[in-house]
Amino acid sequence: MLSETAKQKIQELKARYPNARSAVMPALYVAQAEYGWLPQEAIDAVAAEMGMTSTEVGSVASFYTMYHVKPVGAHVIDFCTDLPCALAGADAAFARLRERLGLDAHQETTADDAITLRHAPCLGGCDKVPTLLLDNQAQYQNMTDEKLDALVAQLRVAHDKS
Amino acid sequence: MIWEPIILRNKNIPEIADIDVYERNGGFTALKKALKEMTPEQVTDAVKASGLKGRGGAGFPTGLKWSFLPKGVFPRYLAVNADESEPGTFKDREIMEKNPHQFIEGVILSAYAIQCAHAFIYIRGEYPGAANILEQAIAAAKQRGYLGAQILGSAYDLEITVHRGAGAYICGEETAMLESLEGKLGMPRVKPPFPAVVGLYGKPTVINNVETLTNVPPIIDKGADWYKTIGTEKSSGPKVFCVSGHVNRPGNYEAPLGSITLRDLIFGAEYAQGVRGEKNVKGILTAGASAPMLTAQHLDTKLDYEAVAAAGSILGSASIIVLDEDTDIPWATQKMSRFFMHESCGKCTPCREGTYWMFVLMERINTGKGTARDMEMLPIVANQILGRTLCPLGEFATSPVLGTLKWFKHEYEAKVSADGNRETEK
Ligand SMILES: Cc1cc2nc3c(=O)[nH]c(=O)nc-3n(C[C@H](O)[C@H](O)[C@H](O)COP(=O)(O)O)c2cc1C
Ligand code: SF4
Repeated sequence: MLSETAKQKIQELKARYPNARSAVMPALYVAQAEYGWLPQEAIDAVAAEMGMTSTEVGSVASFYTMYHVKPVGAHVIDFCTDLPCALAGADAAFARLRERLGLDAHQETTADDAITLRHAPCLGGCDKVPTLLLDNQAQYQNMTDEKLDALVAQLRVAHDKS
Repeated sequence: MIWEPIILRNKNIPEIADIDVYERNGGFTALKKALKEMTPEQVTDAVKASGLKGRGGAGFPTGLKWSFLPKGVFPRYLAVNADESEPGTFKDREIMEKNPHQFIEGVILSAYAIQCAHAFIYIRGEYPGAANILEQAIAAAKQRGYLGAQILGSAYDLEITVHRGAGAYICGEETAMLESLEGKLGMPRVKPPFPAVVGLYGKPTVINNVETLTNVPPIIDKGADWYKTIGTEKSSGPKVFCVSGHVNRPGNYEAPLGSITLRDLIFGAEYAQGVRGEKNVKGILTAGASAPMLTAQHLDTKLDYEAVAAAGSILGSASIIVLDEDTDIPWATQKMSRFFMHESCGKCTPCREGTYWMFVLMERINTGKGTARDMEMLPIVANQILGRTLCPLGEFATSPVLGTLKWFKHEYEAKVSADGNRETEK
């Protein structure tokens, strides 16, 4: 269930555009913030608020990579392994991080559901590589192995507490 | 040869993201001048006379674009392209984060010129920091009467809405961006009709890049004649060059168009300060992954639209990625092929299938499983995409493969074999 605050927020967003449908992307972010990802129930709730069909909302959600249409960990790390970062060794850093997190070949999320690690396309942080995006909310740059380990440790502590 | 930036003014005035500091340094004088002394047509004419060309990639003359709007049709919209997703591009980000008020002033001036009452800034979702800064800059401008109803006591009203994308390179293509803004899938539209006639919500719309519009306040403030003295006759004004890859000092550097060469930019003391480990340059990308690679023999190419085109590539967004002599070129190409495979929106079969096949072939070649036939297939697949797609992404996607095969075929040859069995070697 979407909270009343979220519903109200979506109605406000609709008023910001000449055509209410434009608010579907920000509305999906609102729902994702509540659910952690976008299960069918969240899609249906957004559709109801938006006056769109669930199919329409679902197809928008699946088109864009920052909407999680499958379950993810409590924290999501989008790690850039595109060319500028890769020239600075991002592939090795990514592989090492995967190992640290104990992820198998095709696994993206840790067994305790704390962290999801994904390849990201270029994040526009090419002068401060490697770069990552955490939880769609903040970029971290110049990520040395030490800084990565510290970040993961911090996320794990936060997850264990909650 | 020190150029005092007029776009990245934060380089000289680090606190310019503070609106008071911006105002103390001439901020919003152009807007005051335009609203008190100039008609919208005069603003458009000044931008036309300045010779400013779009900084988002295509290099289309900005003032001319504005003048394509059909007369008397309202409402009109301005959609600012802040989607910046080309690998190696991070200039709009620095402008928005470090010099946001000049950008916002440019949006207001441009919206006034085209008589638009509601402008949108489409910013890629991966830039949450910049989006927050823009929201604050807009609130500050509103508070000081530069935005909202009756701006600076004039009859002109404007609202600006920041719209966050959600991870899709294709939304940087202008018609895909409009679709996305309308709450649909970010897939390009068939042109014509052009957005100037049928754009956002079916209304006349201008789409411009962040850096393009950040040029407008100095043009209005100091005049087109002054602006035209910067750069070359055909490429006027300053340009921000993003330099990344194997250089000592990656970053954004501003210089007048045509005033420096690739060598100056890569090796100059005031620029990227040379290749790391004193190595030689092997490959140079000038427009991120989207334009053919150049090589060390092109180092003396001047950095303007015409000279880079003459060298066989495209200046585009000026995202210069430098690859040193030890770079494995087919490996780098595979990175770029993966990017395009991932970012193809899937609307056109040649692009969707072709980007997939180019990636598969590159992967085979790089893992020692490639045959000479696979190598020959690459340009064949690329040529099946060229000219058969709705938007330029399809063409962009062929650049990594075609560009590197032109100069570095020997590196491909060294990786393939007759029977596709070189697994032991790599
Ligand atoms: C696949 C693709 C991606 C693009 N990405 C961007 C982008 O991120 N930012 C941008 O300003 N222009 C981008 N463009 C160019 C826009 O379509 C458009 O030409 C530009 O925003 C116009 O603004 P300008 O005239 O000020 O350069 C892209 C074009 C294509 C085909
Ligand atoms: S060329 Fe590619 S990205 Fe462009 S519309 Fe066609 S499928 Fe989509």
